[in-house]
Order: sequence, then C-alpha cells, then structure tokens
Amino acid sequence: MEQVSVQDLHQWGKLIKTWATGVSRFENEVPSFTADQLPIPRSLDELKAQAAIVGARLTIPDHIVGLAIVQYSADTLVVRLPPKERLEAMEATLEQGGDTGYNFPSFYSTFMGRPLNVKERLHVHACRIGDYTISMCA
Amino acid sequence: MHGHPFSGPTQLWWGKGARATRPRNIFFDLGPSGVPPPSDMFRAGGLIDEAGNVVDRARLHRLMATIERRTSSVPEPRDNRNLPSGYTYLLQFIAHDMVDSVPFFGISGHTIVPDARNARAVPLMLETLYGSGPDEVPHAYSVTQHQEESGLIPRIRLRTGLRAPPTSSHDPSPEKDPYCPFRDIARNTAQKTADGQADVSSRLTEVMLADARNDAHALISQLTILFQLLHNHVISLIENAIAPFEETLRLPTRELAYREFQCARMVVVLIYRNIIEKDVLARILDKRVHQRYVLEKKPLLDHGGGLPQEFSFGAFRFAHAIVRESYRLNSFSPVGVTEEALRRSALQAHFGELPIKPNWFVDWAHFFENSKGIEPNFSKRISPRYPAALSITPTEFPEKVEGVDAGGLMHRDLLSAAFAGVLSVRALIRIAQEKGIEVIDDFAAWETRLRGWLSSVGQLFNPNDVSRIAKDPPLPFFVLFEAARIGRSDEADGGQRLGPLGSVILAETILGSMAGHPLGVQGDTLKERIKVCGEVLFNTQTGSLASPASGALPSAVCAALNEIDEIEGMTALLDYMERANAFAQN
Repeated sequence: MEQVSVQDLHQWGKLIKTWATGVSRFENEVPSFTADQLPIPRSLDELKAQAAIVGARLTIPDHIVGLAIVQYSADTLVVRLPPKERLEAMEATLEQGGDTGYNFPSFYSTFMGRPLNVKERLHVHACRIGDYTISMCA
Repeated sequence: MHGHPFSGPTQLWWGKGARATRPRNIFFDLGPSGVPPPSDMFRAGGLIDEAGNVVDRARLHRLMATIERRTSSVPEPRDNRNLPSGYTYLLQFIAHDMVDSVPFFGISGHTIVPDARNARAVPLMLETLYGSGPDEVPHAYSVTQHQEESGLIPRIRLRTGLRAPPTSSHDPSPEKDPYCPFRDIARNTAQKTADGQADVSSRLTEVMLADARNDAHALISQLTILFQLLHNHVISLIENAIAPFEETLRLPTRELAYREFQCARMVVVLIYRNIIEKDVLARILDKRVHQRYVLEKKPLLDHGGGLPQEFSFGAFRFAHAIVRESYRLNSFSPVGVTEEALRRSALQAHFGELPIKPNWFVDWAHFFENSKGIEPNFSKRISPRYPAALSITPTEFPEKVEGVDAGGLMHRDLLSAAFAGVLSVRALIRIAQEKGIEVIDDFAAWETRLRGWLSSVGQLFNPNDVSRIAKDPPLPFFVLFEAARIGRSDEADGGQRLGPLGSVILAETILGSMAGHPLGVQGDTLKERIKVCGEVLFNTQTGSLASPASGALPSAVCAALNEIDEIEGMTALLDYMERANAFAQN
C-alpha cells in the first residue's frame, strides 16, 4: 500500500510547528511566509498547497481522501493507533527478510552520536516532529 | 559536482561585483569579435547590468531561491526507461573529465575579484582517471610485484582497493553479482606516526585517486573502479604479450613500461570515447539533434575553442535532475539511499563509513542494461526538479544565508549560471536558429509556457518576478523545463531526453572537444583504432625499441589487444570485462 511520503522532514516539521503555535517558522525563509499565510489546513488540498510552497516535498497517495488534524493539551496522553491493515502489512513484509523497505529517515544518522550546536538541535527537533507526525508507525 | 568559482565563504565569492576574465560563450570565440552584445546575455530580468555586474545580489539570490522552491513542488518524475541509472554517474565522470574549475581571486582596490580557470586543458582524455600520469600523481598508481622484480620502472597500474570477496552469506556474491568489482577505491589516513600507527586522525580522509572529486560519493567512486580495472586489464594483456620478448630482446625496461602505460591509456580512451559517442549521446540527445550531429556528422557550429560557459554552467547540469532518491546496489542489499552515498566519501569521513563496506559494493548489472536478466535502476525523467537528496548543503558549498539563500545544489547551480556570464536563453535560441538548427521552438512559445508554470503555485512569486523569469530564465533551469516539454502537447512523453537547445549545447561541446583533441588514430572500427595503438607504440623498426630480432613484438601486442571486443556501449563493456575476468584483478 502506497504511503504518504515527505522528502524534506525539516520543512515539514517547521510547518507542523507553525500550525501548532500559530507562529511562522518561515519568516526568514525565501520565499517567506507569515502565519496568516499558513493557517491550519481544513482540507487535503489546503494541506498540499501549503506543503508545496514551503518545499516539504509531500506526496499523498490517491487512496487517502480524508484529513484529521488533532492538537492535544500537555496534560493528555494521546496514543495514536496505526491503521490495522497497514500494521499487519508491514509485519508481513518484515517477516520476509531481505529488502524490508523499513528504513530510518536519514537525519537520524546525520545527527546521532555527536554533540549538536543550537542550529542543529532545532533542525533535528523539526525533523523529528515532522517524522512522528506523518508516519503511521507501520 | 565539478567545482566552480563560488565554492568558498559566501561573502567572499558571492559578494563579487565583476568578473576578472571574460568567459567564452558558445558560438562566440575569445577574440575581439567574440564579445556577445550585452542584450544577448543572461541578466536575470535586470538584476545583472549590461557590464555583467550584479546590481542587487540579495535579490538575485532570493529570486533563484524562489525558483528552487517552485521546483520542489514538482511531483517526483517517472522512471526513464531510456536511461539506466549508471549513465547518471557516467555523466558525472564525464563532467569531471571536461571541467575542473580552479578558483582563485585577486584584489582590485578594496574589491575582491574572484575568478576561476578550467584546469582540464584536454577534455575527454581521461585526465580525471590518469591525472598527469604516474610521475606526477604516483599515489593514484600501484606499486606491483612486477615492478619490484623489474627494477626502477614507472608505476603503470592504477591503484584500487583490494578485492574483498564475500565473507558471509549476507554479502553480495560473484555468482549473483556478475559485474561487481567487490572493492572500494584505495584510501589512506592523513598521517602516520614514526612507528607506522595512524595518528589521532585515523579516519580515511585521503583518497588515492588522480581526481579526488571521483570520491564525491560512493556511486562515483565505485564507477571509477570500473575504469581503473579496465586500464589494469589492458595492461595485463600487453604485459602478457611482451613477456616472451623481454628476456631475449633485452628491451629497455623503463621505456617499455612507459609505452605499455601509454598504449593502455590510449586504448581505454578509445573505448571511453566510443561509448560516449555511440551510447551516451544516443541516449541523452534529442533524436533530431542526434541525427544531425552524430549520424549525419554535419559540421559543428561552435568553433570558439575550450568549453563554453553554457555547457559547464548550463546544459550539463541536467544530470543532477535525474538522480534517484535510492538505488538497488547489488543482489543482497535492500536499497542504498542516495543521501547515504554522499556519506561514503572522504569529504564526510567523520561519519565513519569508510572504507566502503560490501553492502555498498555496486554490481553494475543493477545500473546498466545487461544480459543477466537483471532489471537496472532507471534514472528519473528530466524535469525541473532535483531530488531531495541534493537539497542538503554539503560542506564544500557556501553556507546558506538565512532569508537570502535556499541552500542545496539547485540553488547553487542557478546562482553559478547567474554569475558565470552565460548567454540568455532567448539569444541562444535565436542564434541556433540563425545557424540552421530549426528544431528549437521559438522563445515566445516558451515564454508563455514558463509564465503559466511559474504562476501555477500561488503565493510563491510576485507578478514582476514571474515576468522577470519568463522573459529571461536561468539556463540550467530552462534546459530542464525544455526537456520536460512542459506546456507542450507532447508533455507526457517529456523528460526522456534533453530538448533541442540543451542537446545542441551538449553535442557542440562534447563532439567539439573530441574533434578539437583528436587521438590521431584512424580506423572505421574500434578494433582497427586499437590495433594502430599497438603498432605505433611498439614499433620496433625505429627508435629505442629497434632491433632486428624484435619484429614480432608489435604483432604480438596487436594480437593481444585484438581480444578486446568492438565495445560501443556500457552493456558491451561490462560483458567484455566479465568474460575477461577483469573484475577479479588486483
């Protein structure tokens, strides 16, 4: 089953941060965007349009037609359950061995195992937010 | 990656106001009459003045960054089944063999004046593989047993890493990976202590290659090994042919070694040029342009000498757009992610991925058409989009300036073209049409298509910038746009080859380079040309090899070299090398 893919998790993560805080993370970018230009999307088309202009390189397969955006509070434990069929399909793939197709995003190996400066910390923070927000853990 | 004059601290290189030397433009020469009128130059819609000076540097950077952003929203292109992915990296290897920018700068008053020269004086002679030869770049050549036994003779074999046959069932194997050399390039640490131990910098930061750019990433270093092994194989053919004569004829060993080396190099260059002409150009050029230049061999139109800017800072950058995000490398490994390939380089030795491990040993059956029933990776169709793997900013690039730069390779390519002094697309099309190339669409048609495409993603450009780019697009961007046929009725078929303008620039430059630096070897077939090499380099009628008893020497060498197939493409090369057991040599 084709999955959602984001090829620039840094840009995607900054877009998530912008939606979550209402403060644009793109005001110093080229081109720059204010928070007003990047409101929480109400449809997949809006989401795709925003992802495109910030350069997230987002691909959403045709079978995905719905959008749910959830923001929870700090005093709530949110456990996101992945889609059953996707989880089972991935388990079946992993059991086959060989080419698992289960690769870690490359930013992990870029930043792991060494001290990071402030810029790098913010970079990896955005990448991780981008990764766990979009991936379905399966 | 072939280097350019702007690879340095941002403010130093990109802050320049004027070029130190005038570049050579295609269809123009460097003489007094070779100066294109200012109106024919790329001026970024007015951000570069008539004298070629950047008027508003920050605005120019932002404009190019916005183009880059627009391209990032182009959907990932389909595979190009006309072009297996091995050609992506063969094109990079060819680029290294044509362009080697050496940056330097002067000071004029209080202004820094950066400049660059192309150190690759003779293109397509495999200087990227051989450098200046064994005397000047000995680290790229191996010291062999034969050499030790024969006394002080020059090194004549290219140095590779040692073959590392599989050690576990999890590794690729010679049975399943027929075109795999099973080795890394030769590498070393920066320094060793007096007792031979590696110093604190024990990383393999030094590459034993004539051109360190061929270690920019794992795929180009693996490809370099292919040509190293081809050379070493030809040396073996010659050595075996000569061996029976050495004792009886008492030939001068040092001169003989040089002749062996030069003969092998000539043979490898002949094969390489044959592949470029018969295989590479046939795959990447527009069919009508290919017909004109390669099949009908009509005269070239550019006689300026040296490489024009429009090639090195424009059309040849197209190969960046056909890179995949990942590749299947061999029979065992799942996929090799392109970003990971970049870490398998001395440039990023701190990642600790060197030497390259077996899971990154490339079986070229996965990269070129082959007779093994293995479907290769295919390059991506040419489109105005670079893969995400190339959007990172490697250490050798200037750091991006927040609010001004996009970073990444496409932004660098666009800026390089802006600063290099290339002809405008409008002028290039007009001049090519005036010279009889009629297959290029009029610029007016492209301007309309560009305007529509740039405007199709809201909020990115202001109307002035849309107009600025549509009227005066950067050449490397336009070459991709043209190839993708965006806005044309046949757009669905686009991206499998360059468009006509990009093809003309490549054909003129590549064929012009070969014609301008002929090898002096005539013959209708590759075999005939190779035979001439053996006859001339081992001529025993005159010179220091002259000897009444050595008349059979050139015949023996020619007979050995006649074993080489009529190689007209990468598929034939791989087949031959496997049959000749060339992958297994050390």
